[in-house]
Amino acid sequence: MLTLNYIIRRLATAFAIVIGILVLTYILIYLSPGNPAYTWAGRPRGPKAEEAIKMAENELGLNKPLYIQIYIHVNRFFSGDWGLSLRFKQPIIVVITRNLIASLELLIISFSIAVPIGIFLGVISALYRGYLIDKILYLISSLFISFPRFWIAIIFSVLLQSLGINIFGRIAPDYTLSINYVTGSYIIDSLINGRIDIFIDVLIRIIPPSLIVALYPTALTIRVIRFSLSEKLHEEYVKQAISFGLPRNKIVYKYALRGIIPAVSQLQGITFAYSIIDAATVENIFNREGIGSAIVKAIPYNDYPLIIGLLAVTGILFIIINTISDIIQVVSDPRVRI
Amino acid sequence: MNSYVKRYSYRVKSPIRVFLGLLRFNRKFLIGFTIVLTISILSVIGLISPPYYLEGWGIVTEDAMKRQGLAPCIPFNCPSIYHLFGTDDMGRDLLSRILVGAHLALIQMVSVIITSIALGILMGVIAGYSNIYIEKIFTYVMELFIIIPSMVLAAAFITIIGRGMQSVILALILTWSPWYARLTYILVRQLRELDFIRICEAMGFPRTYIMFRHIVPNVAPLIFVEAITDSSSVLVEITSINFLIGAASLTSIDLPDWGMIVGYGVRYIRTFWWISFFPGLFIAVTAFGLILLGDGLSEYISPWLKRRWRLWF
Repeated sequence: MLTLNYIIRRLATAFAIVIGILVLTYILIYLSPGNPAYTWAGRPRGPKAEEAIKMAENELGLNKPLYIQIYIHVNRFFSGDWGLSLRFKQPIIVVITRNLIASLELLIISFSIAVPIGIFLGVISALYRGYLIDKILYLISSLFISFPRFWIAIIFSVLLQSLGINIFGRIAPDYTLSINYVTGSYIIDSLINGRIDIFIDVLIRIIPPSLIVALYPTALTIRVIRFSLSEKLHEEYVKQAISFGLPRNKIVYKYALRGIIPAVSQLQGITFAYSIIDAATVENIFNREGIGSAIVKAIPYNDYPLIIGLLAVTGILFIIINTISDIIQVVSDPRVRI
Repeated sequence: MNSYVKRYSYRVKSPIRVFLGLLRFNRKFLIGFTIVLTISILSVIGLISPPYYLEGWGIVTEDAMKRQGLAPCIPFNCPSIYHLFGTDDMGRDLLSRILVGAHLALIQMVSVIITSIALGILMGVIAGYSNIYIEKIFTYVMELFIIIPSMVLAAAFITIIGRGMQSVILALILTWSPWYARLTYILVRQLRELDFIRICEAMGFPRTYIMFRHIVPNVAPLIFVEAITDSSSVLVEITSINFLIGAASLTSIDLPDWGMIVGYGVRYIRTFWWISFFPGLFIAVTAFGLILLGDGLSEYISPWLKRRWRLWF
């Protein structure tokens, strides 16, 4: 079973990595060629440029020794004072929470589509290895892995436009003012407000992009399950279950599949990190808010503070996801806990 | 003996014979190799003589302005017999831009893959075959860099260094090399328990000698096959980041990078679909070829994956 010792050690490692990411972001600021304050202020030009650079220098504390600068940077992060976004003219923490929730909504829905379908198709593919259905599934999965998701999204959006269906954006413009802003995720907010019409509208708008984002994790899950389940089916305990005369579904889903939960959960943790790029590109095509749209808006303005904040926050998000997948791995497979 | 090492152990043949055998007997490898070879030849053609050389490199010529009258829709020419894939917002021929951009995509992908394999093997071997403190430090660094999202790191490099291939390549090397480092580390930890390493240690060979003479040659082929399978994901990741740069750009982009052309064309998607469609098609076909190539190789290493079996229960 899961020991407290392991959890504490895992959390300590996660915390060390959080600190590492924050220090790394500061090193990125510090090592930028030329004056770091100039980059931090967004490469200003014009009459007020010197003033802006002075302010940035004060914010970063550049006249102090390096370890104190790093200490100030880490401290500012934990107290929630991340500065002001140059592009959005809002506190960075507000901008990031808004965009991160929008992206997470998309990613969570696409993963809850991808994982069951991927496991089901992967089991079929492993059981009928070498047969026609396995070949078809192989072709489909390699197409979905290799085709760039933004290209599929472009084709999809062109098709939708030619059919005259307009489901771009996160929510219909008429509804934006008639909803109370509670969590930032429109799906939950509409349910809290008790507006079923808004809920359906938001759900219809989120499903096409999340289906496209789901293609990659589905395909990868099919491949990994095909690979590892064929191995598991030759093990002794599966043979024993077969000799007991248990039904096939029970053998596969209850015994054999249990052995590959660690591999699958680790895979999902990794794929989540990769899929955020897909989410970023698909968001741009479907005109949704999110991390990708925030980056696209930040780059032309040289909005360096926002990008550094995003780097820290997405890094921490991945740490949380990886820690969860590690704990799932330990619960299902005691051998990992060493 | 450990399962991972045992699974991948196979008889050593000369690489040329392996290659010819794969071409003859493995259909996936054959198709993938043909696609990748075609794209490489197209990239060479794009460097030597694309239909409109200057337009391919992003220069708006006077011809481009004159030629706009030939097709019915101006200035975005539809795909026609004069311009197979149409023209973009400045009247530049898209086919030449795609052909010129082919070598950029290949160069970015290959440089990322090769550098991250080299760095990853070096880091993984040092981490797996050193004392415990160095091992701890290296595994910490690996975990740290695996966590960092490549997209945001690339955006940070773009604001620091400037827009261009170098920032994307740098970001991807930093995020892909820890993968190979971790894989190498796992393999090395299994290898160092085996007899031939133990014997070398007992004979008193220096550790660096054992590392590079005995461990690296055993690890490198497996990492190499893994990297070829991953290369399609690397290509899609590079083009996705370039897509974001293209979508962020306020003015038209001169550099004929595939991802950037697609990303820049997204703003015209409602009316002029071909700007984004054709470069994306090329990305998709190249990535598909690469994944077939990698699968063919991994089928060679673990042939039981291909074998048909009877469901006997």
